[in-house]
Amino acid sequence: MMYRLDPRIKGIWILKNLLLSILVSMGVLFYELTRMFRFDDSILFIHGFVAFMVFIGMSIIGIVFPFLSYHYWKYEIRDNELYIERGVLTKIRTVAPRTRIQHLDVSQGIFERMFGLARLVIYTAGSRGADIIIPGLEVEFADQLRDVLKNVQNEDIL
Amino acid sequence: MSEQHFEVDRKLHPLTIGYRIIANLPSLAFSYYIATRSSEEWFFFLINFALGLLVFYAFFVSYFFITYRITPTEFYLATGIFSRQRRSIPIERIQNVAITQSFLQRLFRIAKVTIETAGGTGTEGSLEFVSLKNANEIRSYILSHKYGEQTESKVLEGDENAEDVLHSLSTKETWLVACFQFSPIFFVFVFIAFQYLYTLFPDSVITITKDQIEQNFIKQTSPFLVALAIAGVFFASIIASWLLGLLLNFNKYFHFKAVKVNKTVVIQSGLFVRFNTTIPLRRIQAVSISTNPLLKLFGYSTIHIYTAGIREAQQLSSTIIPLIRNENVKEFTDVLLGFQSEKPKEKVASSTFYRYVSQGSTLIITPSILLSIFLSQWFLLGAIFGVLFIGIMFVSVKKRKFDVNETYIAIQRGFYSTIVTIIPLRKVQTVEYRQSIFLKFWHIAVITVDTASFLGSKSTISCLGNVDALELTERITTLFSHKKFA
Repeated sequence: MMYRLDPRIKGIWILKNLLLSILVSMGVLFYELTRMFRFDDSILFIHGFVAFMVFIGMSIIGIVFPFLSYHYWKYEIRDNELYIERGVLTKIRTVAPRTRIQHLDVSQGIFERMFGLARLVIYTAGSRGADIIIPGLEVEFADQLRDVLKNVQNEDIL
Repeated sequence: MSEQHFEVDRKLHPLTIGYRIIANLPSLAFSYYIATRSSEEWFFFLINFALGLLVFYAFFVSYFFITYRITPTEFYLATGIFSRQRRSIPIERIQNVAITQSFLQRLFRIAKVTIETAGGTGTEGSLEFVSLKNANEIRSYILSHKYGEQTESKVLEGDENAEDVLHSLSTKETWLVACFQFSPIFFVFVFIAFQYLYTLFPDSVITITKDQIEQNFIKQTSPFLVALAIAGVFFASIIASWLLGLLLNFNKYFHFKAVKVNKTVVIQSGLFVRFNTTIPLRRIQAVSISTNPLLKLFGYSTIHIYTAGIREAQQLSSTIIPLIRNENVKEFTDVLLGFQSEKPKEKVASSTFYRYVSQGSTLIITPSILLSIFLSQWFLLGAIFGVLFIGIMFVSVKKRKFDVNETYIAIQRGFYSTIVTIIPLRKVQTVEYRQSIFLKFWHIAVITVDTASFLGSKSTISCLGNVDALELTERITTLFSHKKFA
């Protein structure tokens, strides 16, 4: 059965994207005020216009994108492996056998704590490090998932 | 057994201090020279003296405050004076044991033992320094307890039987290896060195004054001469860097020998610095066989052995077996991997090539067309680059082949050199299917097989038909996660 993430993850992603767009437009505003852009004979001359447009543009993308990535984010706990399918522009499907799992983390960032969510980080011995992260899980469910995944006899694979 | 004495706390070889002092004498002498040259002599002398004391203190700490112990289950290392660090590495987790001996260390009859595990970059445990005899004993002790078998330390010292030698290089072949290995990094070194040449020959340098620039000095000189000078410097540095690389590689691969000892491969090489690496066969993550047209002409290939630990000596996760005859390659890889392997035959999707054609044209030709509105010659340049890119991609897509079966995944890649990477299925950690919007347009996808050793693009099957890729991901997964590897 394919699981979806908790819908509240969209809130976290939107919040993060909005924060980023505020940061970026602040930077643009700084450049505008220090007269880096010189649009003397147009509407762009109004201070803060470019920064505002940047903010609006980034916010629209930042609000729409989480809905799309939520739509495409699916995962499945199979008998022998963990299967993850994600990506809006780039589709990525990852398969990690349960016998290959080295250790598991349940971690909560500040936004995740606000929404009562947690993320499960799955480490394998692979050279690409902690590549497998399942964000947006309810804390109890993340703990359950961790306990399910950890109860596997690990082979000495290295 | 004489090796019982490793199970109590032991110190390093006492000559460690002596070696460290002698090895650091040049730098100490240099700083003393700097100090005596300066005007405020007494002040710098004091600083130098304090530094010297500090260095000597470090030397003493590195001997008196390091103890190690090897038991049948763990390798234990305690270091430090104020913040004491105790590290224990389970014998089971050790990836390989390397013994290194530089020229000076050989005079002192001491060696460095490096213990590599899978976790993290760099080395987890190293003993600097123990006597060569102890180093060999430590290695055979670790390996024998790792496998529950007795490894004759005599064998490890180099009196191995002839039939166990997998590969060895004669002096003539070593020269050949050195000739073939051209590394661009040496080119950079030589180029930098050339900048300092004028300090040796100050008269040969023409100084251009400000007035001469104003008189268009450069324009007055013939452009042919300028081009000749640039080309001359370029070729001189290529030849110099080739010679430098030749000597360094000769030093590196001198008396190269790969021997199979029980369940390990022991690789020895080096003229001034002796490398002695032991790789347990079980720990090999992948093996790649590479060849290029030049090597092919002489009938040789190069084998890379990938392990999870980072090889400290080479800053790579692979060990190189250079210049192995093509007819011996198959036998060698079979010994390393423990199964028969074939060259991959299946081809990648034909639309892959068109993907690169479109990529090449968009990346290079389009901007140059835009630029050609202003500068017409850019169009030609862009077209040349575009055609070159497409040509390179045509060859490299032709070379891409792969094979998946019950025991291994074989992937062939390359442009100038052909690299065949064989990854045992039991070593595969994760499988990833990736399709960007550009790939989606061409109905192709990329599969990456991740192992504990960093293989980069060598572990990527790129690109396959959309449906084929999904099927293959499923197949690889079924093969490696449902099967129990004993």
